[in-house]
Amino acid sequence: MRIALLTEGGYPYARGESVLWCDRLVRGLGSHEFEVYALSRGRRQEEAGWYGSHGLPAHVRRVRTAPLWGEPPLTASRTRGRAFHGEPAERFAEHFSGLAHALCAPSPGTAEGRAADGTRPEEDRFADALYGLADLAAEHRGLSAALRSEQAVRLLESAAHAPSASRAVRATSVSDLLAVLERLERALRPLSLDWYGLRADRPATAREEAAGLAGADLCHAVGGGLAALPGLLARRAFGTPLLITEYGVRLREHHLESLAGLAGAARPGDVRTGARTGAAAGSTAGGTAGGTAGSPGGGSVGGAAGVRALLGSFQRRLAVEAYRRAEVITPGNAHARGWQERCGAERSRLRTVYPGMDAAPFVTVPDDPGAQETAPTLVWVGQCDPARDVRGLLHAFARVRADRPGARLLLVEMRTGADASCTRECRELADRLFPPSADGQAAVEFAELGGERVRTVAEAYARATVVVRSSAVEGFPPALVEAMFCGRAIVCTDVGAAAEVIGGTGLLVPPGRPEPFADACLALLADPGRRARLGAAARARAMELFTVEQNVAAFHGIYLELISRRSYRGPGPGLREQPGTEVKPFATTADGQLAVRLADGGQRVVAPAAGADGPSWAVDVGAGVDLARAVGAGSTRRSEAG
Amino acid sequence: MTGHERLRATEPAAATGALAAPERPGAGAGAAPADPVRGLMERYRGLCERAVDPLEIAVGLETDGLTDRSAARFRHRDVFSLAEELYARSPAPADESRHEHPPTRTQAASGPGRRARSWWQALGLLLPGALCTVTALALPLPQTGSSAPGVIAALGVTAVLLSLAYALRRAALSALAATAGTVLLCYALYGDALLGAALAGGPDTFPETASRCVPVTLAWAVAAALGCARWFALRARWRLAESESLSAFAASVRPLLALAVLGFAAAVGLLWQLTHGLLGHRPAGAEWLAVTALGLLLFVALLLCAHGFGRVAGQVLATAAALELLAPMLVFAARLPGLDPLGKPVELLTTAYGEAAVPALVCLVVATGALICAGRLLTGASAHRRPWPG
Repeated sequence: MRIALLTEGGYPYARGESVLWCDRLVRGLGSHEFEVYALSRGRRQEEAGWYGSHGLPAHVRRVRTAPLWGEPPLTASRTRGRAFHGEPAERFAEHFSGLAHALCAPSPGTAEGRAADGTRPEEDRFADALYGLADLAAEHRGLSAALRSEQAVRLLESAAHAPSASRAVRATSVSDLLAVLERLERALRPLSLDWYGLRADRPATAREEAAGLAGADLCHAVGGGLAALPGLLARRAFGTPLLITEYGVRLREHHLESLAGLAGAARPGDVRTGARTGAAAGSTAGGTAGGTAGSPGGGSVGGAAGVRALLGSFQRRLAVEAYRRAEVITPGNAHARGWQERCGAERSRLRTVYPGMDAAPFVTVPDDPGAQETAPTLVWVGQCDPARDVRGLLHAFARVRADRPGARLLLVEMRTGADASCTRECRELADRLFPPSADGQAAVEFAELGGERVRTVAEAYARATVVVRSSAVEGFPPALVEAMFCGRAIVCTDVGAAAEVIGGTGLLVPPGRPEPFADACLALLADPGRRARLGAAARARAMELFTVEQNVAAFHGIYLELISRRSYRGPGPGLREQPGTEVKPFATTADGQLAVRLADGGQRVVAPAAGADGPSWAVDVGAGVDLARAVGAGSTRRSEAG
Repeated sequence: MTGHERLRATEPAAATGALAAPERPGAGAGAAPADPVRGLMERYRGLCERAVDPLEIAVGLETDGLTDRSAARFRHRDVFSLAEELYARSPAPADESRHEHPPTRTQAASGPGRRARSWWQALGLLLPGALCTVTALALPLPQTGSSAPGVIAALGVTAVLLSLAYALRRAALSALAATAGTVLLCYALYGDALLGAALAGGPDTFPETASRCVPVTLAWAVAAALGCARWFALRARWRLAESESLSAFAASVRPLLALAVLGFAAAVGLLWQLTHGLLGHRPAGAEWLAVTALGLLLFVALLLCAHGFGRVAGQVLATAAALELLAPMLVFAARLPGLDPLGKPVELLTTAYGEAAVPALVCLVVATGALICAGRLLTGASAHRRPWPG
C-alpha cells in the first residue's frame, strides 16, 4: 500500500512535533510504501535538517516539502500584483467572500452563535468556499497573488463589518485585516501546491498520477490542522481515505499560541510551559518537540482581538471540516478525544491509540526486592517547573518523614533549558523543611539526569520503592509510563491523562493537597505485598497498552481496515459515499491498483481490469494465473494501451 | 476550597497561568456558594475579558490545571461548557483593548545604534548628489586638450551610478522600470541636442551633453525622492494602524500622497535654482519644467515600485520613454517624401518653446496619468502591507 504521510511542522524535519513517533511508525511498517508530504513552519526548522543521521528508511519513496512561511513561492511571486481578472476574479470573489463570512460568523459555543442558528450551517459554507478556492488554485496555478490583492482585503472587510459578524470581529481595523490576510495566504498555500498529481484542465497521465497524492491509497495526516488540508483535497478529488492522528490537538495548540501572544512580554514563560505540558503527548511521541516558530494561520498573534478571532475561527472550521470528513481519527488520549468530539468528530470514527514508548531500557530494571524497609526511597523524575509542583511534593514528604523517619526522597531533574529558579527555590525549601540530621544522611537528594549519580531514567527508577508524581498540570505523562514499565508502585496526582494511563494500577490523589498524598505514600510503604502487586499490574498494563509495538500494530490494522473499504472508481467530485449505502469490505482491493516498480526505478500504476467487479485475483484464480503473472499481464496491458 | 485552589494559595504567583487575575485567596471559597462560577470569573477576569472565543477560555483554564472533573464542581459537564458560561457572562471587550499595542511613533528614534544607522542611511541618500556635483565642478578645471576631462567624466559617472545603485537597493525596481528609467535619463542628457540637430537637418556629430545643471539636479533629487517616499510610507503605515475601514484609510492617505508629490516637486524646483546658482548658469523656463516633470515621473514610479507595483511602474516609464523617442523619430521620418506633415507638430512645439518642451510635455502628461493610477493603487491597504517575519 502507498501511504501518504501528511505533516505540518514535523517529520521528516528533525525539529518538530511527533517526529519520533512518525519515525517509529514508518520504520515499523516496512511492508508499506510511504510518501511524506511535509509543510514546514519556519526557516529554523528547515535549516535544522531532516531527522535521522542515516537518512530516511528506503521504503519512504518520496518526500515533498513546502514552506508555510516567508514570501510566496517563486511561481506566485513572478506574477506578483497580478491577481485574477475576469471570470476567475468573479469566482475568487464568490468563494473568498464565502470563506470570509464563514470565518466572521460567531462561534457555535456563544449566545450569538446560537442566535444565528437556523440559517445555513457555517461548516458547509466554509467547506464549499475552501474547495471552491482549491479548484481555482488548481486551474490557475496558485492563489497567493489573489490573496494578497486589494480585492481580498475588500472582501474580508465587508464580511467583517457585516451585521452577521461576531462582536469580536466587527471592530477589526485595517491593519488587523492585513495581518489576517497575510496569515491566511500562508495557511492556504497547500491549496496551490502541485502535490495532487491531477490537474482540472486536463486528464492526468499515469506518470503524474503516480507522482502525487492521486496515486496514494491512504492519506495519514499528523494533526487535524493544515496537515489535513492536502488530505481533504485528495479525499474530495480521488476518494482517498483520510486518517487523522492527533497527540496534541492542533486547534488547542493554536489557542495556546495566541494566548501566549496575548500575555505578551509580561510573563511569556508561563503559558509556554502550559503549551509544553498540554502537548506532552506530542512530545512523548515526538521526542524533540518545541523550537518551531509560530505556525501560519496561527502564530503569536499579539493582542489584536480581531486577528485572534478570525484566525481562531479559521483553525476551528478547518478542524471541524477535517474531523467531519476523516474516515478514522485517532486521538492519543481521552483529553484529545474530548477536544475532537467537541469539534464535531463522530464517536464511531474515533479510536484512541495511545502513544507508544520504547520499553527496552526499562524491562531490565529488577523488581523491587522489598529489602529497603528501614530506608525506603521515593523517586520523582521530571522537569522542575511550577506545573510539576515539587514544592507540594516536599510538603507531602515532610508528613511522610514524620511517620517514617528513615524515608528518603530522590528528585531527579531533567534539564531542558528551563530556568533554574524553580530548582533553587525547591532546594531552599528542602533545606528548611529537612535540616541536616546527625547521621549525615540527607532526607532529600537532588540529582541531575545524566549526571554522576543518576545516569539514566531506568537507573533512577531502579532505586525506587515508590514512584511519586505531584504535577498540578499534566498532559500525557511519559514518565508515568516509564515507571510502569519498571514495575514500580506509583502515587500520582489525578491530573491530565494520569488516571487514564495508570488505570487501577497505582494510587491517585487529588492535586495540590499534601495530606492525601502523604497518606497514600505511607500506605504503600507499609505494605510490601501491595506494592509488588500494584507494580506487576502496572508493568503488565504498560506492556499491553503503551509499547511502540502496540502503537504500530494499531495503525497497521487501521490502514488495512481503511483500505478494505476504499473504492477505486477513478477521480471525480461525486466520490463522497452516500449516507446509508453499505460498504462491503474488500469490494475493491488495493491490488486493483498495484504499484509496480519497473527496472528503471520509475513507477507505473496498473489499471484495474476493465469490467472486473471483484478483486482481480478472484477472477484470475480459476484460470490458474498466479499473482505475479497477473501483475505482469496488467502492466503489459497498460503499455499496450499507452 | 478545591484542591486546585488550595494549591494556588501555596504557590507563588508565578505558578499560575499568565492570564489569571491577581490572587484572591478567598475567591470561590466558602461553604457551597450560590454561584460557584462567580469566584472563577473574578480569578480569570483578565482572560475572560480579552477572550474572543469560549475555546480560548477553555484553553486558559486547562493550562491552569482545571479538568472536566474539577468543572463538575462548578456544575458543568466539562471545561468547554464552563468556558462557555464564563464567556457569556463576561462583559464585551472594551474598545481600547483592540489597540493594545498602539503604533509607537518614536520607534525609529530609539537606541544609539539605530540613530547612527539612520545617519549612515541619510548619508547614502546624499551620495549621488554630492558625487555628481563634485564631478560637475571638476570637469571645467583642467586645461582643454588634455585627456583629463575624459578620465574625470568616466570616474564621476561610475561613482554616481554606483552610489545610485546603493541608494535604490531597497526600492525593488523591476527590470523594465530600470531600463526605461535609464532611457529617460539618457534623453534628458542628450535628447534636446539630438532633436535640435535633427530639426536642423543633422545630426552631423555626436550630440552635445545638456547643461551640467540637469544631472546635478537629478542626482540631488534622488535624495529628495527617497526622503519623500519614506515619509509617505511611514505616515501611511501610521494611518493604517489607526483606520477603522478601507474607505477611511484611503481618504486619509490621499492628502499624504498629494503632499509627498507636491513636496517633491517643490524640492526639485528649488534644487534647479540652487544648482544654477552654484554652477553660474542662467535658468531657462522650458528646461526647468522638463527636469521637474521628469523628476516627478521617476518619483511616482519609485513610489509604485516600493509598494509592490513594479510592473505598473515599468509600464509607465516605458510609455514615457517611447513617447520621447518618438519625437526625433517623427522628425527623421518627415524627411521621407510624402511624410512631411509628420514632423510638423514637433517643429511647431520646439520653435515656440525650445527643444526641452518635448520631454516636458511627455513627462507631464505621463506623470499625470501615473499619479491618477498611484492615487488608486497607493490608497489601498494592500500596498502598505508589512512583511510578517517568520
